[in-house]
Amino acid sequence: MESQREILVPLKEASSLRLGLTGSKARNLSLILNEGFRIPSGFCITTNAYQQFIRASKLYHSIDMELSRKQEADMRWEEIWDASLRLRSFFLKAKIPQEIEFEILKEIKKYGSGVKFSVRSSSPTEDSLKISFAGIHDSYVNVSGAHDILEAVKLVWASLWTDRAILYRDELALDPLKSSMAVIIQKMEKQPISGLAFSRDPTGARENIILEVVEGLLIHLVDNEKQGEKWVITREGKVLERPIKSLINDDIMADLTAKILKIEEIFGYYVDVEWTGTGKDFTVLQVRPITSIGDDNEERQWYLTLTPHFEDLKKLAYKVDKELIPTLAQEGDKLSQEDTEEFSRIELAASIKKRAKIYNHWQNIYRNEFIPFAHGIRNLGTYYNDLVKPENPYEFIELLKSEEILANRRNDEFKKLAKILRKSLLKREIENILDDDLKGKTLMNKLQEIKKSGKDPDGFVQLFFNLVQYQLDISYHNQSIQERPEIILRNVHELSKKKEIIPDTGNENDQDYYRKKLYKAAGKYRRKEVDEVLRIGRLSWKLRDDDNILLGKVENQFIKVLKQAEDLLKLEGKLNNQERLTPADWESLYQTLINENFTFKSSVKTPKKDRMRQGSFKPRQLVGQPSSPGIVTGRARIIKSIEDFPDLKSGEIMVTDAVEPQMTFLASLSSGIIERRGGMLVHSSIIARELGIPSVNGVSKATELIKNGDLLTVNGYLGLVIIGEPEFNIEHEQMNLEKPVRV
Amino acid sequence: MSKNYEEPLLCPESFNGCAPNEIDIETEIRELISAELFAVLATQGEGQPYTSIISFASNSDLTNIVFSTSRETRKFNLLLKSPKVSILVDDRSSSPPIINQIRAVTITGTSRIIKDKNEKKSWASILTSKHPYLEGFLDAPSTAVVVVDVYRYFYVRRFQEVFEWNPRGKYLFH
Repeated sequence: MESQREILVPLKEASSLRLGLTGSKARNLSLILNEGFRIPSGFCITTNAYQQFIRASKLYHSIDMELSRKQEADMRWEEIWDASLRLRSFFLKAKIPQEIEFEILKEIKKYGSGVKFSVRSSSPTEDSLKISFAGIHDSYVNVSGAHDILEAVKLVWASLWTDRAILYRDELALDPLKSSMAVIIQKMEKQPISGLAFSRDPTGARENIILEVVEGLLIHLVDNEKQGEKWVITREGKVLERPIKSLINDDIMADLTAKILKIEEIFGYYVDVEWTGTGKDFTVLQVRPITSIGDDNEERQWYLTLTPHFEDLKKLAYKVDKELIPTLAQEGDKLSQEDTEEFSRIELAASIKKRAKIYNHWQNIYRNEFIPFAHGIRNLGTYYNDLVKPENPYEFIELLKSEEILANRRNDEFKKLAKILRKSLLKREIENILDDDLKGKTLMNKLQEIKKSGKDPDGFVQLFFNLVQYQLDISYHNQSIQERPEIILRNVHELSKKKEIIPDTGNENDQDYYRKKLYKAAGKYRRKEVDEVLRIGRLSWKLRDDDNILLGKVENQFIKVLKQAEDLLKLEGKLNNQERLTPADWESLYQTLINENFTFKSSVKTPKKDRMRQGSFKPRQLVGQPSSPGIVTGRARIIKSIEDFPDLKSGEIMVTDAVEPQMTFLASLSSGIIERRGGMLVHSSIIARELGIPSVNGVSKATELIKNGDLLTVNGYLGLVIIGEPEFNIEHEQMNLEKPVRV
Repeated sequence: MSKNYEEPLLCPESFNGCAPNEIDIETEIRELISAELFAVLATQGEGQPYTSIISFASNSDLTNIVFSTSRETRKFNLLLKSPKVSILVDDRSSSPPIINQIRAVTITGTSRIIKDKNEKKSWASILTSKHPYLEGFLDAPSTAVVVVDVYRYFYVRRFQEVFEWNPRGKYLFH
């Protein structure tokens, strides 16, 4: 029966075929059907169809290109998400071979017209006994009509390469040519209740059975749209936990329990069953083994929380926007208003402890709430691409532009200062200050003098004070920007020399255009849904920037008291003058303050020696992601800390580990940006697009492989960085220098 | 400490990533050069580039590439007039048909014809230990042994990642 050309198989036969042909979901359903259980009628599209599809469309080239662009371990989760988004877009645009299309539609026709189907993934490697990969591939419900069904099939195929799947690439043995995906198409079942059942409690006392019941379709439960009611029952049938009011009575509960145990017996392992209907209508939607081995990679597990379902995202949006962000902003303001200068030793110690606690608290919130909420942007992207199917899968970024974010407000003031300085009578005076290398308070006092003497009719000094006091009360890599006004003044002065200063925020009309495009693609009945997805997406974008600034402000308040303690202890000789501190040293610093006999120990380690460009090795072309289009050539300027800020000259190419919202004002000085951290939606991508400068990110070890002053060409169309000029210097010189070498 | 809230890393032991260093690149070039039997040689004459397939070998420090050719060939006559050459070695014949997975190295250097008998013998033995079938061919008086003094290796992988490596040590301009 089985042949290489088998495209469709009835579900009844799937269990007798090779797993690689039907995938485990189809096989399990087939097994249960042959044991006398009811399953929704349907069929399986074998992995042969997938193989023919990716070969005919040459999609495997695109898959490989996305996955081996760089070493897997170098890929950040956002880059993995980006790769997956592009692949999804390639899949949607590719054409299903005619023969396959014909077979699928012929089969669908047998069910009559207007029938709704579920289109589900059935991967040969998912749900193995070793490790459970529940939910890493996609399934669609309530699909009808030839066009939508074929689209859903392509999306399920594409979901072989979801971000979740790529993350488990090693375990799933994903290979562009060998990996496959089967698809199950089944008629939708409409039963009054549905649910999940576990023959072993995955969380609590293991030997218990768990039932979760929900009204209507199961998808409401799976997507967290509805809260299911929960039953806990012993294997002997004793009810340990029951809902106050239930959709099912005890007889139905007992019947369901017996059925779950029967299914477990058939498979010979603990099972997780998705079902709908009760009694004689009981229908199995899916059976999966419950695995005992969990994933021990914590980062990866955390990553899986970063793609919440839309319902959860909405709840998170409310929490972040209405509760967390305002509280964080208040916290920063409150701390910055405290006058710590007159603090006694004990007060200072107490303040360090208090601020450390606050700072750590917000770092956790950042990780557990703010980063997951950034998914709102990605959610908008997928939504937009599915409906609009744009040529460029990042077109949706246009919808995020010109959002009023904190960093833009600061950057605008920064630019305003540069424009004033350009024409100001103060210009010479400021240049003298810079030449004299005035710093910190001395600099601020000098500016104060100038202001008082009435030599500043344009209000440059006041504006500068405002910028430093209100917008730059933040830290960057553990250093307070506010306490280094000389650096900011130097950057402002450098920017004032630039001919054209481009504003940070783009054109609102563009945004309107894309919004209309999205409305049109969605149809008038989905307008409300579009508005909601847009609102969450835009909010997510705004807050992912703002939260950095606001957290930076809290961090700066923490750093300020640490600095104060450091100065005090150095004065007392209890701290070596050369000692460099980081916030991680706070406990040691605290102990030294309050405990006479305590000796301070720094956590700062000497950095590892750079073993990159020594001797005979030299990068010529590095590959990253094209994060903002354009080509530019210029000299490299590596930005590793705040000390590097003043060295950035107008027109140089900024090379940095990660462009953070605290320092985006430097972007307007640069003619291009190269960043180690990758992602099409990271801060540098957006700011570079707004400023119209080329940018490439995701360049591994960028700040080590590239040196200050290197001639760089940034190709923002293709994501390439070319180092140096194409030359044959060595060939010319050595030819003249060398004698032939003997063996 | 600010790194704590940055992002999860899939490569935690070196947050900066796993990009290559000098040792890796040299190893990869070495593997490619020893695994591949054939290469493409580019010569030039009258302003016209010209490519040929060669059986090649290299010495242990990769400063030289050696191949043999019959003295009547076009490439041999081009080399006499214009000794600068380029050689391409790649693994496309053993790779899946996907450009990203092909590794290639472009070599630049100057060629010289080995005249000294003993020297010719030792280069020929390097060549025949990799290509035993060349023994008879090398014995013929009409066969020339050509050695290329290598200046640079341009190593390309993942379709677009390019690194230079100089087998003689330091770059003159660094």
